[in-house]
Amino acid sequence: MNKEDEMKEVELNEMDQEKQPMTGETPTGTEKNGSVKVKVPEDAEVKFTGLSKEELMKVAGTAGWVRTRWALLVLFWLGWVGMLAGAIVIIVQAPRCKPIPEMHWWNEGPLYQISNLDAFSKNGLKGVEEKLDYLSQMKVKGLVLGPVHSVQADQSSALELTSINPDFGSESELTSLLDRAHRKGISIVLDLTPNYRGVSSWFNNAASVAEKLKKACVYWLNKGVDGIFLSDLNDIVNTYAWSSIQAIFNKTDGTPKKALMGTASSLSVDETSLLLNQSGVDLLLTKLPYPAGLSGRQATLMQRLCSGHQEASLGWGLGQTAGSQASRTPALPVKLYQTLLFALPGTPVFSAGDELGLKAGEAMWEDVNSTAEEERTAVRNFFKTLSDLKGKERSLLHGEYVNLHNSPTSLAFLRLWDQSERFMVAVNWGNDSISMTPTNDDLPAEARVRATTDIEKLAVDSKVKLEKLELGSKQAVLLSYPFPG
Amino acid sequence: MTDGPRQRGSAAPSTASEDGGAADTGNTAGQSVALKKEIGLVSACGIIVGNIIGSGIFVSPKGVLENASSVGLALIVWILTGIITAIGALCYAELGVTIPKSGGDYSYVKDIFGGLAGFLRLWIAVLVIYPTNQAVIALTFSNYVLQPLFPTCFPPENGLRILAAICLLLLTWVNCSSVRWATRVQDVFTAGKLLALILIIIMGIVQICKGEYYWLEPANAFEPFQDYDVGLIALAFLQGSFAYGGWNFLNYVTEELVDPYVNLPRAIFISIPLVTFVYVFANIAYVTAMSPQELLASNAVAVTFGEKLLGVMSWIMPISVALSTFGGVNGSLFTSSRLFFAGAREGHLPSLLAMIHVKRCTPIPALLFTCISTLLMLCTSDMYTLINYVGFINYLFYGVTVAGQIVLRIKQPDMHRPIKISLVWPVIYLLFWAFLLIFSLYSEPVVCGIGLAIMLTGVPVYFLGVYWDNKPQCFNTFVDKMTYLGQKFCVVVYPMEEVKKTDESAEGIELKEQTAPLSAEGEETPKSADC
Repeated sequence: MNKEDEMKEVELNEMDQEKQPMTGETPTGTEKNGSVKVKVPEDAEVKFTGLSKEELMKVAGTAGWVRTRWALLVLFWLGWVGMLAGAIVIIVQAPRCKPIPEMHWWNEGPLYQISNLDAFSKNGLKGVEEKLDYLSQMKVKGLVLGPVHSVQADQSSALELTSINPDFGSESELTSLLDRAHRKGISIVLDLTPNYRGVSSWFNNAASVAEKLKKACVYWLNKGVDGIFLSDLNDIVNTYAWSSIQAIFNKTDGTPKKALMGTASSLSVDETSLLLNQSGVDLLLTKLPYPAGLSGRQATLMQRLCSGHQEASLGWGLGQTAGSQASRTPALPVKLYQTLLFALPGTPVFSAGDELGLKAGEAMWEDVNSTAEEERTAVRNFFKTLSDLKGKERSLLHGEYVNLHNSPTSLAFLRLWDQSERFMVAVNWGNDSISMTPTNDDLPAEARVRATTDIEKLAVDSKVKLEKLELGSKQAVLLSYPFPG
Repeated sequence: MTDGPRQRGSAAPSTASEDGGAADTGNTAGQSVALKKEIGLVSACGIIVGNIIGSGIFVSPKGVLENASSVGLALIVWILTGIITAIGALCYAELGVTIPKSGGDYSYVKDIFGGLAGFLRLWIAVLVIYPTNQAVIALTFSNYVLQPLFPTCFPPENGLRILAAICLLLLTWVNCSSVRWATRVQDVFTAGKLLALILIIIMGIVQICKGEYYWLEPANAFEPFQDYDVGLIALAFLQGSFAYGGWNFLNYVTEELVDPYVNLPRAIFISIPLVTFVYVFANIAYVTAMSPQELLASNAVAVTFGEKLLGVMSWIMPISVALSTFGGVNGSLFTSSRLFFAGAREGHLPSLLAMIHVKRCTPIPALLFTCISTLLMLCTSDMYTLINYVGFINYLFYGVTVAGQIVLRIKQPDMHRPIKISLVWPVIYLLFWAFLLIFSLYSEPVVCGIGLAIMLTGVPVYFLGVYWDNKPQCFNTFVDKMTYLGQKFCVVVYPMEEVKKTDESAEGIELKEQTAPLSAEGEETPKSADC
């Protein structure tokens, strides 16, 4: 109280002093104001500067204004602290991030399988190295090469799993390819299926070559190869040597994990599921029939696998026979399969040429007429679009699988993860158009088209109503909608 | 001319009323002269470096690399952008001493091209550029502060916005309270971001010593991961320019420089090469730890870099970026107030916005206006779209200003030019500017068009608010009353000292004039000098 009184007295004194000069100025000021107005009208306007300091202090220093300003200041800080508290509450109450499952390099994007190196490039392994930029642009994460080892058809005695067939190149070329690929973030998997030129992958006696396989795995992994691929996995898994082969891949020495991959053909749903559990492989590749078209049984297989297994172990590819390009006669558009493979839980595995929609007898790098070139470019751009989405969207990378609709000729499912954008896929491989009514708790009224094989009816980035989704014959569409907070 | 007599009239009574006037005047004059020139060479360099280095260097490398298509070309883009920035700064330096006014390029454009052009610059800056920039920087701050808590998903949207508002309000209060505190905040956070960059560079050097320099070898550095494209390269330069933004801030404080004719060009030649060096080596460091593919896959390069090399201490990077953006908001508030002053002085803005606190010497009305408009931006979801629109206009005026330098040489060749540079430099700058501008228009015609449309909304405002002299009396009365009300709320007055500074012939009287307020108020000299 005393201090305030003293301050007020000081202010009053200052005012008293200020009054005298103002009194002295008055006559002079008046004259000058008059002259200013007469001479330069604009200057008069420019010179308006509100209250002068003396005038302001008279008014602003009064108790009322001082009290008002203090009140405003207190309100400001109360508001600020309130906002801070509100922010803290919102942040604390917000759900934490859902833990991301363990991801390996083969879970982060598509794999590209080059079974027939001669068809891919006349230069064998060296030719593959020359195309690494091409593969990198498509966000390919790993290459599955070969088989490229030395063997004679149906002669197990001639099997040399640690030697490279001169037809495909040399070991130094493979080393160079490995180094270059790793620089570009691409891993290399070698296909060591023993009797790849003969009748039976395992010479009808897998146990007889198990030891050679074991040594070869150690050899190639030490050379820097990132994984090993085996066909007809069910034959080797049942041998006594399998557990020791598997142990080679379970080392935890800090380096990126080595992958043990395989495939098996003509298995039932239960057999495939059992094999996946029994073998402990890092990735089991399931081939979808192409170009014949999916069957109801195949659809069931997909759903059962997607629902029952960690997607990190699932792989999806095309074709009955691995890398058999000669038999490729498309009855279904390849884009439909691309959509399906990129959207399913797990890793899409494409054979060389799948990204271009390569037809029977066509060579990868051969010049074609302008119409075919446009078609290839369109298919490849479609592939890249899906590949980009797969690599960026968490729902597609490791989201939950929710079945929405299925029939013998069509399928629709949902991929969702935490608060990320949701993705919905609808595929119709039948000969007739279909109309779906997908139902799920958080489906919104409409969704956005992200990729489509039917550009005319479902344009990219357009909105589609979900209550009645119509899909033409042999068409597929990928939709997305935001997390419904 | 009309100011002279008035000043003499006001000075006489003060002198008469004080017996020891002569002695006091001498002492005070000495102190005033010394305190007015507070910014030396080191401080000038600090201002430039502090304003250029912001969140850009922690985020832009991805954009530059993505569009440059190879590591080698990306580094070349960073170097060339630094050179172009230095050239632009030199052009601004000549303008800065030729037209020694606060307000930077707004003042230059107005004086050279006329009131309308200047007003449009002011309009777009005050209404859109400053609010959106501050809102985006504040949101970036929020994102990085919460990053350790939400490493793999998005923080709650409301939490982000409230946190950004908290940051903004706190800094507004700091800037309203004290000029000294505001500059201290700037110094502290400038040091913080420099430390982060030095840490990045040191880690990069360590990596190189370990043999991790595959992507720096010439054969590999220039190996493109996608085909080169001229349009994309232009985008790379734009991304780089974003990281160098803030190079023209020294022009806002030219009047406060010690020996400006010598220190201004020196500060430029020291600071911008230094920043370029830091930026290039930061990018080199990034590339030692990440392949181009990894760098492109990251949304926050510095954070990914930290995660790779720092291990348990990886939290340092998001915090460093957050501190950097915090300093960025502070710097933006600081500079926007000077632009408001310049605009109001020219009659393009209400005079209230140029007023400063009686004792604290802080531009409270300007800061409050900026704060409120930024809060409005935080409430909208179209902010990022808007900043895309006006980013083009902002870049447009850099070229207009540099072109103005050439025009000024032609129109007024005999003008006093303490710093004079060859016309080759503005021509080089304009060629580069035209290149980027054309590609911007070509690749994003709609976005650029909307930006221009937003700017042109200022034309009717100019003619109604500024050009129209004979406004109705009731309008003037209303404006006067609002001004008085604002003054009483904020205790602010028009800064008379700065107006008088423009009149060199009245310098002697100016010193005497300053004596009266000082002695009458009994305030400490340093605070008054801060005005």
